[in-house]
Amino acid sequence: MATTYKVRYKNHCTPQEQIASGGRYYLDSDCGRKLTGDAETSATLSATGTLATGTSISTSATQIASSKDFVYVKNTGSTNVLVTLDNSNYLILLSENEAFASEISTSADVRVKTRSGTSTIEHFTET
Amino acid sequence: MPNARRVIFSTYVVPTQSLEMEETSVRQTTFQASPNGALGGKGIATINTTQWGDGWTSFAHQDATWDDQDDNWDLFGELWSGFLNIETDPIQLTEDSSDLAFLYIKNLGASRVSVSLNGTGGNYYIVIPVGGSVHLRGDGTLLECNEVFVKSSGKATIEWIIAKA
Repeated sequence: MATTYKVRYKNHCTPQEQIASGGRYYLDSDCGRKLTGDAETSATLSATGTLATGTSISTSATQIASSKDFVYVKNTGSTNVLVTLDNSNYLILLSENEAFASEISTSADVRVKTRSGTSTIEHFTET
Repeated sequence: MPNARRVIFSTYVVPTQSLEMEETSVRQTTFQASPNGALGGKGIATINTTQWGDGWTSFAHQDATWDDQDDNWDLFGELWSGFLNIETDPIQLTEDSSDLAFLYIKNLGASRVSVSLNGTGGNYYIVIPVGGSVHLRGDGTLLECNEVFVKSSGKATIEWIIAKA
């Protein structure tokens, strides 16, 4: 009785434009609709994932994923968090309550830190 | 020209496990014990009111211009679909070197898509399965629009937003 493991994930976005200062925002006319993707991880996952909550983050790097197929990280604090996928270039920004979720190459070395101050994150990874 | 632009975004993650029953065509799918539910987050990215060009969304790509298309528009009636075909060779989404504020890519094809954030020879660490999407905010200083490259393990199609700060 084989058990298989998957992560179903969705990343949505809604581009908007404001016509007049102080006015309401409408769907951006360069795009015209809401955008979303919905998929299960394509990699074969071998076991249940690992969830960690309340992890303290500082200006020193904290590794959250290495040799993983999927990563989810959410900034649960109030200070911006930076994310790198290659243990070098911190190119992704997460403000309070924002999350990054993606299937990743097992070569990725995912680490997080703040520019200054401290924050907290929750993160989930699976192989 | 609008007064302002922004992108509202959210993420929804559900880790599951699926048990094969006695009749193998039947599977029972449940939450994984941890987190035993869904995870997610949401936010708003403020992007530049004046974007780097019409191609900041795939729905108005530069190849939508009739004289940039491969075939004679008056013979073939070719219209820009809003989607970009990609294969194994890396494709740069824009040559604009502005700081990247927000990126969204969806895989509409039949093969996995990989994304590099540090150039054509960079690390294609982000994987987008068929039907899936990824979005992220740039850090505001290091990540530039022209450093985003995509490629596929086969033939794939994508739609995207690549917005400058």
